[in-house]
Amino acid sequence: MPIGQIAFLGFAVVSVIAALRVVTSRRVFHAALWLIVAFFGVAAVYMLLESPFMAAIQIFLYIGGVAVLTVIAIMVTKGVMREDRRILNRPVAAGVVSLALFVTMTWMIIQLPLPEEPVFPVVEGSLSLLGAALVDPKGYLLPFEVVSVMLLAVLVVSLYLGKER
Amino acid sequence: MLHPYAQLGIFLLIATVIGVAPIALAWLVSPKKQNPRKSQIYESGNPPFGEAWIEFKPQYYLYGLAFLAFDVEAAFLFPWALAYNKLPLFAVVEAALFIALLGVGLIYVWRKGWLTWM
Amino acid sequence: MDVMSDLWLPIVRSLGIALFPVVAVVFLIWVARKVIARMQDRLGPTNAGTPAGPDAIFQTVADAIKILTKELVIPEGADRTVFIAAPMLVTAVAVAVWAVIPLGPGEFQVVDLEIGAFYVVAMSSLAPFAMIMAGWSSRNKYAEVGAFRAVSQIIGYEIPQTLALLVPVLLTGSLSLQKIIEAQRVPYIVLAPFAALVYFLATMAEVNRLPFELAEADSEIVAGYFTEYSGMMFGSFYLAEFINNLTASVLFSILFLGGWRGPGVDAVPLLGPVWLLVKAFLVFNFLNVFWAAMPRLRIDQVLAFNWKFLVPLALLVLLTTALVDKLIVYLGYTTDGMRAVGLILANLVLGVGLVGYLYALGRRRKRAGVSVPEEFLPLLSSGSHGALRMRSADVVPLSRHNGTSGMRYSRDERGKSSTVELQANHISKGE
Repeated sequence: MPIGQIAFLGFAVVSVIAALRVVTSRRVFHAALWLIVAFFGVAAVYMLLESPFMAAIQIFLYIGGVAVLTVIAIMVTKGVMREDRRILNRPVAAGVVSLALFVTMTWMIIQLPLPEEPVFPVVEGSLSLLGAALVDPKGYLLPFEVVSVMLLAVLVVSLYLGKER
Repeated sequence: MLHPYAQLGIFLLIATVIGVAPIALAWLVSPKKQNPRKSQIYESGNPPFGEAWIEFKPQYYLYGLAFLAFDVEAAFLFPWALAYNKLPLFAVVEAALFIALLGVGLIYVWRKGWLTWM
Repeated sequence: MDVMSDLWLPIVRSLGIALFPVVAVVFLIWVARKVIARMQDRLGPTNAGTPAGPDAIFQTVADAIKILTKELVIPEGADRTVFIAAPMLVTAVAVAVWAVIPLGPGEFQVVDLEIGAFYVVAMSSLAPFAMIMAGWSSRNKYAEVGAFRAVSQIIGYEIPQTLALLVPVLLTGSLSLQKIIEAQRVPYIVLAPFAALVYFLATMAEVNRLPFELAEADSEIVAGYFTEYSGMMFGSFYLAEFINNLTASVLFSILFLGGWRGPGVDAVPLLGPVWLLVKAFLVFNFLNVFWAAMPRLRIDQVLAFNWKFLVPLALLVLLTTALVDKLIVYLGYTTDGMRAVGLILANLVLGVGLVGYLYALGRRRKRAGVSVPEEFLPLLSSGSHGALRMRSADVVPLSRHNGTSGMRYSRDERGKSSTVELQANHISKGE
């Protein structure tokens, strides 16, 4: 088995275990930390797909942004830091739904014809192509600007909700 | 020649070992004399008052949200900065619009006084 | 065996570059202590009975040995795994950044990732986690407060740091640190001084250097988020902090001072690391100057400085540089020299604008008076027993509109006023 395959399996197993620990940890804070491990696993998979930029984005935005925010949110919330909360509210229902979802997704993915070679091979300078596409009027310019509007909304609303009254 | 990502992996492994080593070494070398006075939490000499896991002001979370908005914006600006040399002048105008939209938000929030701490 | 010889060089190089910051820091801590001491008119570590080398040059080694043999106390009720993991994480992350740092032309680098600068940014964004982990798992109110403040500071200043870092990336057209150095025939500090300024200030806050040292605030909240740490665990935090300082100095040198460039590097590649380290050493001592001379800022000052000054400035600098550079090319001046002239002019205009803005701001504030936080009102009693000896007639109630509460002290009839430098360091429940 090529080493890439072994590495991928390793990271995938780590991610899955981490994801499981997220929902089964007794303490919310530990769940957040396991989430970060899961994100690292995803970043490693991105690296294996020869996309270091996406891996770095994963670490920069998800871990450095979303996860930090999640942890702060946890600590700011009242009463959530008490230990030993019930770990799963409805274990049977949750298990059944998760399994059904997993089976459905696996079946759908298996239906897809998987190509041998990458459809779009990794090009030298693919990042500048991405940048050029982002500002190309025939490309993704509109979504690019809409993202900015969305961020504007996030900024204004979040600070409005928290202003001193 | 070893694949660059493998070299990176080796380096990260070494970095982790460097992180763990001093503490492992210290654990081996240091005395371990447990004492309830020693493991008491430090609160200027007084016994700790109340539950330590109290909740904090929501302002921390809001600064976090503001940070996240700008974080995403910076992430979007990275590809643009890379393609900059090959782009026409119009692209700079578009990026200026992108930045200005969020900048206006910042200025609005600032003028309204919502950026004051505590 | 073929595989072994293939593996040998990269491993040795990785080991060398990974251990370099650790070893260098031992020396740099001594330098920092000596420089700061001399600037503060005292001697710093001297031999005073211990055989620590000439001028106490081995002081740090002695300290390290001492710290290694101290007991690792874990406070009762603390979360053991997270508590122990935090210092390990912080050191590992500090060293991990060095994977992409080019110490010299060609082979002096572990990996020349095409996303070099972005990798650095991503690794630095992991720093707040170690702080939260340390503060939270200590189960100590001081530690948690310290952790929150530190995290707010760090995540806030990541924004202008990232934006300012985009300017050299813009000018080079690549994220690879090696390419950024190679493109600096003219160092970027000349072409983009304000980007360098913003980056420097933001980095100062990121590495918790005075005046942004509230994470560690010795006199305020004991030791901030690492209050409960003893022995080598504290040593790890201290080590990681200085490694971060070194990394920050090296990065500034790479991004804005030309990295390993210098006379003679083409002939003797080994001079590359020498030049880089000389520049980094200069930047490091510049940071020490700030440490020695400046008082500590409060958390609200720190955050206001970031969100109301640095972030808008960083955005402005990025836009201006992008616009001017494109305009120059558009207007037909494609040579390096014209580009440099254009950018320098643009930065001059920016500088004038900035100074003007700050001047106007300063005048507006002086006219409005100085605001005093609420807690210190009892000190402003009339009569000579008031600790600050201000006449109550001079104190003007501040309106709620501004968002701050307290009283203002304005000028008396003779036009004299005194500025009050106060620090709000109350730890109340719910902060």
